[in-house]
Amino acid sequence: MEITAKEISTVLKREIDKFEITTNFEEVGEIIQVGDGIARVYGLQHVMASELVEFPHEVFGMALNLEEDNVGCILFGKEEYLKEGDPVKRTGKIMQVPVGEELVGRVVNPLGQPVDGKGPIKAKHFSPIERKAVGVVFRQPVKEPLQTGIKAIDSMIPIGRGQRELIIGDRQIGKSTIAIDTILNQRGQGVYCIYVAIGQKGSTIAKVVKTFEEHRAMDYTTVIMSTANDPAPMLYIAPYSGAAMGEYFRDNKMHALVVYDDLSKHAWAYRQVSLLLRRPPGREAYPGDIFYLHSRLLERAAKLSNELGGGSLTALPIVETQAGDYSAYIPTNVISITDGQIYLEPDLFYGGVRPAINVGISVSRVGGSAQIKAMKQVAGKLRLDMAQYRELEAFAKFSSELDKATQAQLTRGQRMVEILKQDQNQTLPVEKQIALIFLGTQGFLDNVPVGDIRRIEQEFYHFMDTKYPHILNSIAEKKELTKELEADLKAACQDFMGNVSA
Amino acid sequence: MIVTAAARRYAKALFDLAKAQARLDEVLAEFQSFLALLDQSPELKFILKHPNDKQRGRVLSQLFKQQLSDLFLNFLFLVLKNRRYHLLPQIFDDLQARHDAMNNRIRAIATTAVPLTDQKLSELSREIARYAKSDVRLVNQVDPSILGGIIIHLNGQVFDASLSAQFKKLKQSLITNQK
Repeated sequence: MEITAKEISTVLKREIDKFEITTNFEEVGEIIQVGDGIARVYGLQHVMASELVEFPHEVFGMALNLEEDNVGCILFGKEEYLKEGDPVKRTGKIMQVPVGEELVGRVVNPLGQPVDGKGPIKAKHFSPIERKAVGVVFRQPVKEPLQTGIKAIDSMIPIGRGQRELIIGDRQIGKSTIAIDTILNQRGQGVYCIYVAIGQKGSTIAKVVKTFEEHRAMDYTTVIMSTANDPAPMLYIAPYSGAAMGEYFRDNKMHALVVYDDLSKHAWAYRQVSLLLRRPPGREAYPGDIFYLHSRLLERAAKLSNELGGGSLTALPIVETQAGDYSAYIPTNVISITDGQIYLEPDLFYGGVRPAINVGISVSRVGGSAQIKAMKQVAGKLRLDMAQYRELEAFAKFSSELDKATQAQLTRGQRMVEILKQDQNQTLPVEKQIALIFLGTQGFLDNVPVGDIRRIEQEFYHFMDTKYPHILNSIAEKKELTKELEADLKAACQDFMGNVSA
Repeated sequence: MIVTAAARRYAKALFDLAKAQARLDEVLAEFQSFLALLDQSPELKFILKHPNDKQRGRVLSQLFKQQLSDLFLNFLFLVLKNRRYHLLPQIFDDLQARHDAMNNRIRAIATTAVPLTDQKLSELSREIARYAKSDVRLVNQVDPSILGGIIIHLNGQVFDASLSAQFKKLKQSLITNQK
């Protein structure tokens, strides 16, 4: 390609020719104090709450505290170049981020600017980060399942599209893994995913993005990243940007899933900002509106009514507890906001039960309406088996002499626990889950040693895929276990167990 | 000048009192000359800052009994007693602003690269007066770094028609339009 100097100057001339000068009166204040991600500004008499203000060097801020003689702003950019006395301009706008399909497959910062080096994002639409949640009349009850591909969740703690399900537990026991697996499982399901990393290590985020790329999940996923060394205001707005991007899909008759990883760090960031703005501290030094902070965020997840297109936004917030303390401030807040929670426990995790979901206390308040009928049919039995097992488990440790019935329940329970184990990034389609749970609850595995179950599970999938694929297909199609289908499945299970013998 | 909330309270009190006694112009003049004196005399500053209230009061009343009105002197004592010495310039600023507001007059600053001629200045102040619909007290400041054009500061609002600002905008538009 040849570029002549003349061409360059023609282009420049054209641009300069087109350049129009428009000057208006602008309201301008000046910086009194700047630091720690916040700035105090004198002037700006008419600035509005949450209005975007412009500092020099293209740093933007948001007016959060409107006080008698100054305005407290949070900064979304480098504060190093700002100094006392610098002019601050009002923009008259509120903070907004780009939204739409253009963002899919990209890694962006909380302002919607790309950070993956794949060029600019030419978004057609913008949306304010803080929006009022949709009203009651525009919603409908959650009714479609959001398949996580995780057996323990899809069978017993089903999540529906438009639901808000909390994932809670100590550090390093697989909270993010559940959320990431759920995103991986949305491939081909028509659900756009948004993963919001709040104050995480850069290396962790890089690893998550790599996992998404390896499983081709970036085709339908946006990652919003704020790392631990980003200023607190960036962490504070990250989940709201994620919600705004998800709402675009929801409002345009599509489905979206947004993962907030995690809201405890979000609360810390907001606490820092609030304390620096000298808002009075409350319990655990969090500001008084910490509940509203999360409730207004999670309330934006919704299943819209058919008149509005029936789109949905599902939220999977994650909260980290310290040493299993679920009654701390932030966990109790978020538990009370969400439609159910998935508890992860270190004892289970280190005991080899992975995912380490405590199915006894985990709940989904949406319940069976977020399951397909076939799953409801087999999972009812599973839930019962697990409940009986839990009841007997502790008791059985004391005595060795147990009657036949009790022993049978214990054997069944042990096998069920084994069945629900699942490796990382190995999600399972719902029809296979149903077939496997059917195999377990019908007692086919009761005579198999516990140690062999996971191997047999893999053999079973292979067997069904090769020999009876039509059964799996018709479960997926009909979404219901009819009498004939159930008989067929039973026959297939018998056939399989006959071959297992070893 | 940044006027804090505290300064505004003192200014309002003094303003209301002076207005009630119809001695606003007098008080403003006294205030201004007092501040000018303060600038020239380090000894006076030292006395004002001194924590010994009684002695200071005696010295000050002896010094200024002739020149300053009782109203202003009392005001001064109150400000000093409350250790608000450093607020004095701010209070004066706010007092002036209140006085201007009362007379429907605003202050404007026109920054230019070269000093404005008297004719230009009066033309400009007429234009601003028409825009703001009130009398204008226009001050000309010279700042060669704006290269050309004019910047007008008016009541916390800024009209930036300087050459330097336009160059900055042009640069920005050349960068963003290239894609």
